[in-house]
Amino acid sequence: MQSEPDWVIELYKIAKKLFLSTFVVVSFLVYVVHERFVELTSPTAEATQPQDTSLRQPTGPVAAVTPQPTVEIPTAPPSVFQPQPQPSPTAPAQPTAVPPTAVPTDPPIAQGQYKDGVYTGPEIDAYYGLVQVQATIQNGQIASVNFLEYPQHRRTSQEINAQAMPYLQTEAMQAQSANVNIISGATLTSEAFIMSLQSALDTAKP
Amino acid sequence: MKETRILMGMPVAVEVLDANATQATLDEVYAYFEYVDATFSTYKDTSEISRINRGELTVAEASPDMQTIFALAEDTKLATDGFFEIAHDGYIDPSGVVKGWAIDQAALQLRDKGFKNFYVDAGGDIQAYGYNDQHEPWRVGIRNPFNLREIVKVLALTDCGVATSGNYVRGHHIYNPKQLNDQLTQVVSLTVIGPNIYEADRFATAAFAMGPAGISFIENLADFEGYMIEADGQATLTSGFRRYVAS
Repeated sequence: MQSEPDWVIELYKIAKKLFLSTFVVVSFLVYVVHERFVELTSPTAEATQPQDTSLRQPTGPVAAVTPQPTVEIPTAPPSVFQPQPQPSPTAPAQPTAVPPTAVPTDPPIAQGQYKDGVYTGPEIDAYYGLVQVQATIQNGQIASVNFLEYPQHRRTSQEINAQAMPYLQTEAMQAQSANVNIISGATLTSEAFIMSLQSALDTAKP
Repeated sequence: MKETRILMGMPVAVEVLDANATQATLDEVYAYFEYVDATFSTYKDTSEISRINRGELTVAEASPDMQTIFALAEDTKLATDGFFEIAHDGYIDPSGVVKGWAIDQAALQLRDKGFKNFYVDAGGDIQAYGYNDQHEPWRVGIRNPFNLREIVKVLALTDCGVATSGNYVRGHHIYNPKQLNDQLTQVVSLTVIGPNIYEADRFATAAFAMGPAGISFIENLADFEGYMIEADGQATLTSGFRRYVAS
């Protein structure tokens, strides 16, 4: 086979490198743009706009994006919820927008004029258990947020936690033939002693 | 030589297999327990702890052993994140740490005298050294909390301590210092094996107060193994417990 001139080979090598580099860069750019596009069109995007997340009645200048009367629960953070008004000593309130998040890492929510009361979110499946939070509003501000449900209160999550505690084993308790030198068990006699003594002392009271 | 006497409201059994053991050997062990009872029993008006509880004596003025016990109780409280606590409503009951400490001290006294094969058992808390009359590790049974005449586990132990905290007699004497109304009912029995009975007993007491999470606490402690029995008859073992199990 007739070989190519050297300069053609060099050109070919450079062209290949350039092509690969460009491909990588362009792929990355396409990825970034795609992710940004997805983010912009998802419901969470609205949660990052302060005007949209406050419970303030829409008065004054209208926000660039129209506030929604109800909010879709986003798929990612399980702690964002829609408040259900509970009977409270102060005026009853209507839910109008996204309530505060309970997890500090989420984007900050502007605290505007919330209606005083206690608001309970729905149970959200956090995979290892359910999460449910309750927010208390006082003087229009978030006074406290409590977890009504959290995965470690659930049996499943306890099992997960037990697995995280690496190698605990379980078994059904079983009687053994009693060929032993010594027996370890909670003291019967000391219990009986204490109970008996207590009864005696009780009768000794004036 | 073997004997059992009722002291501190519980059966105290001592068995020494070494040939040079005499009745005096056992008498000295029981004399030590009498001293412990006279000093630390909250049921005796004349005990040092009762005098402290009545305000007649401060801990700083108390005997070296009493000060030791208070220091050990404080250390245990820290080591168990507050789940071990001897003070309740201004009243101090150190029995949770005294029992294991006293058994350990009695056994060390026998060791110091040169004895090698023996155990000291006070109310089911045991310090065992050496081997039994079959020249094997001492066979220790764990009592069935649901049928007190049965054994549910047989352990082979030497040079260590084993303590069982239990909840299966009415009148719980262990309670959760963090939640005083908490009736501890889910865990009925927790057995802890440790390097000595003082350590095993203090951690068994604290771990029991933690409820089902106590077995995880024991799992996390190096050199300790545990066996928890819950009210439904389910048992949980720490990862290294099986090496002590004979059957």
